[in-house]
Amino acid sequence: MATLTIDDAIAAFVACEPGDEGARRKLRERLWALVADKRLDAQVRTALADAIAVLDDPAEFRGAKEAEGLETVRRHLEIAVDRVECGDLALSEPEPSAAARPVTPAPAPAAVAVAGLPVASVTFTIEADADRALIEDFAAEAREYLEIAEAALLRLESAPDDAEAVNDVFRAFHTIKGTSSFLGLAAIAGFAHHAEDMLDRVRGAELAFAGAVPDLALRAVDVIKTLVHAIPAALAGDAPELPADYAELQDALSHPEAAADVPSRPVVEAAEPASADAAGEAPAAPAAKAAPVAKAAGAPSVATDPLVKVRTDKLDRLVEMVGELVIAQAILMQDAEVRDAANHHLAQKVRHADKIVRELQDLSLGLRMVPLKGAITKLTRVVRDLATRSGKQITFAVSGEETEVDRTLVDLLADPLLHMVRNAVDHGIEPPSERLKVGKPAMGTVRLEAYQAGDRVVVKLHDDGRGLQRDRIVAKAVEKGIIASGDGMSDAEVFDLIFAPGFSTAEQVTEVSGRGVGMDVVRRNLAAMRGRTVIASTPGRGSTFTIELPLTLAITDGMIVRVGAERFIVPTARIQRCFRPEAGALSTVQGKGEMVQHGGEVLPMLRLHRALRVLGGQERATEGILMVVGDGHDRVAILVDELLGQQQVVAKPLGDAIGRVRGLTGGAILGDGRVGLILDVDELVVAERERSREQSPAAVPQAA
Amino acid sequence: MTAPVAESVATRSLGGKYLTFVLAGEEYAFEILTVHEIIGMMTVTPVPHSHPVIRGVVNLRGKVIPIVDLRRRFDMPAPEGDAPETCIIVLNVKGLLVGIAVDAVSEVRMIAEGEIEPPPSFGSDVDVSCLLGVSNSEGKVRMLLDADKVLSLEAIASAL
Repeated sequence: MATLTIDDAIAAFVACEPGDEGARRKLRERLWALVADKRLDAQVRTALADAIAVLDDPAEFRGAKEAEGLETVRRHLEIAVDRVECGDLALSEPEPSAAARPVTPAPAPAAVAVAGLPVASVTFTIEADADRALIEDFAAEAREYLEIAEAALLRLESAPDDAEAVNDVFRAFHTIKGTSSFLGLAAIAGFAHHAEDMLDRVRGAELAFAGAVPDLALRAVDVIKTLVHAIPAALAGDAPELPADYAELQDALSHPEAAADVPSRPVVEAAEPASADAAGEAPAAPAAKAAPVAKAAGAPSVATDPLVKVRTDKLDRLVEMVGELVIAQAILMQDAEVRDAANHHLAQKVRHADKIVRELQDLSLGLRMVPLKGAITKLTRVVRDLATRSGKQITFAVSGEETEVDRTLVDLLADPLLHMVRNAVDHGIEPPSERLKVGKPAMGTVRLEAYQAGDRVVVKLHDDGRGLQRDRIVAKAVEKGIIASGDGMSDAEVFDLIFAPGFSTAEQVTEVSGRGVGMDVVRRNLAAMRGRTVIASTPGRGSTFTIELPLTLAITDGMIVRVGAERFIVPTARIQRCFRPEAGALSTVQGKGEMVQHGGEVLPMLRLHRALRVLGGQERATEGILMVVGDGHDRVAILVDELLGQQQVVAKPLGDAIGRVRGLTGGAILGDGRVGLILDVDELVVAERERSREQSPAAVPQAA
Repeated sequence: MTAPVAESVATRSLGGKYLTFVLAGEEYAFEILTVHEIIGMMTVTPVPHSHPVIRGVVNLRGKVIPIVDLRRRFDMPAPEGDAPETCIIVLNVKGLLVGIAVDAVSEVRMIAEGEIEPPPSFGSDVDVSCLLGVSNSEGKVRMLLDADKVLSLEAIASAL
């Protein structure tokens, strides 16, 4: 074959039409020949080898992705051409290119000197004429890739033979390197190049994913992450400093075998999503809440469905408008003209529109649903790092991470989950020696389980550690002045102290979370999302933290109740049952307020009109309706005048001018266009409990 | 023109268009730029445990907006029911929509800088902190309100 030039490769590339495998083969042949040509500059050859790597990667050329694959090839070729044109021969040292290795399958020397891309300075700068928009896009894209890489690396720790995971990591580094070098981000490109090289050796089974390698790879992810985070600053011309271990780590990546062996660390594993349909627990979920449309793809690597990026505010607006449409439709359906059978045709048309609106509603809700995975992936790393530092051995098992919830909830869940996980690792799981002493396996288990139950999502975090120590919690609460003594408090009440303001503080800023948020804040944030937290614990056997959240904040099934002249909305999911009490069932217990007996239970009774200071409410409980709300021993019977019916409502904030009102979560437009207030049942229950504790016996009039 | 007393008066020109309205027989005005729209009176849903100046919330085409009772805000006696011309001026203050219940809306009026005098001092009984100034023309006194201050929660808290 005559001597080829890079122009020949370009010509072959231009001939590549999507779907034309023959042309692609030809391009590949020419590229190989060029890569093997030692007279060419090392960097040119690297770029060409990168192009080959793309061509060889079946994932890049699958179906609709083919055009993208070709685009990536084009970018690599451009880099090569650039290098040739610049005569950039500063680094003429032959560089064993990652993808070029298959052509010269010589026994790769363990410590080849890799010149790498130049790292001129210790600061991270971006040229003034760089394309800002492209760089910003790259930053977003890189973050996604880093997340994928991190998740895959953690998978690899437990399954070092997982070829797919190695590919995921390699692809992530590879893409980051390619794009960043195209954009002139030398600091990132150079580093990613080394990381990619190391991973390529793992991929080629030339280097085992063991010893210092996993740690180096994770640290490489961290360094690139830091650099990506610094992009905005660099764009602003700040020239942020490179991470302190940049050079050292870059070096270590080239010689992973030489890197000091770090002490073996506990294995961290993410269990396979257990029962794929944990969501199946709620077969009777109302149709409106069913069918999150975009089901998460099972494969953790690349999604094969074409995706589009949409601004979240547009999406939110769309979902909001559909919510309005649903309500407008409900108002229309309730109109006497339509309900009246007189105009048969009209009724039929409205019903047809109703069907469409409902379908639209399901779809729009699905749009906002994303898998919990985003909030959970990071935790695997947290457990791993915390365990390593405290010398504990912990298995982190995750199931149900594909459970879908409202996007806003995923973000808000991150903090509470982090807290719970940290708590479980720091305080729950014992050191190995202590575990062995009490006859438990040295390896502790922290299990995170997520599933859907009705219109709520449940996230449970279980550890098999020592359990919550009642005495220590009581002692701390007394010391902090939260309670006077723990006498007479149930275990559940004692555990609840963890969430009391001032119990856990944000004093310690850990390197894992970066900042601490008190448990009280966690609970408050969850309550704001209509979520609840429950703690269960058995000494010596471990504890379980349970978070329960609504699937979506957008639409709630509400029971409309009347109190005096006012109407309120109670989330239907929170109502256990409703009944009209018999006169004989009512009683007062000294100092504990009014009680009602029903179905063998005695429940405290809360008069809604008094709690909300509404005039004209039904005073005689036997003429009203009692709604049982809450759960466990926190149940309360709430007295209302009348149940008016059910309606789906879109919860809306009352606005900053009003602020947060105790006992209310927001407002919603009712069928007649007026605003109804949505009751925060849990808060009412808490308020009732506090009131009954303080109340003196004299203040309880017998009424019935 | 006398020396301005409030800083806001000193730093920006007050001349411009104002929406004037009547409250308990007195004439007030908001800068037209802060007015989002005017809507007829509608049924207000009272919000339990909220601040006394909050009359409640209404549905503004799908948005829930609070209604501030200006009489209560200024500590004036409550009227006997709403007059037929009662309406709600919806203000947009820093992106927040808040309704103000007033007795009647009068007109949109051009008030020249020269007509505006700084708020007079009435002694400790009357709160002038939310006045931008006072305009006096054609024998009518109009009090120009600072929407921001009228609706600021801190100012409300300190006023009552």
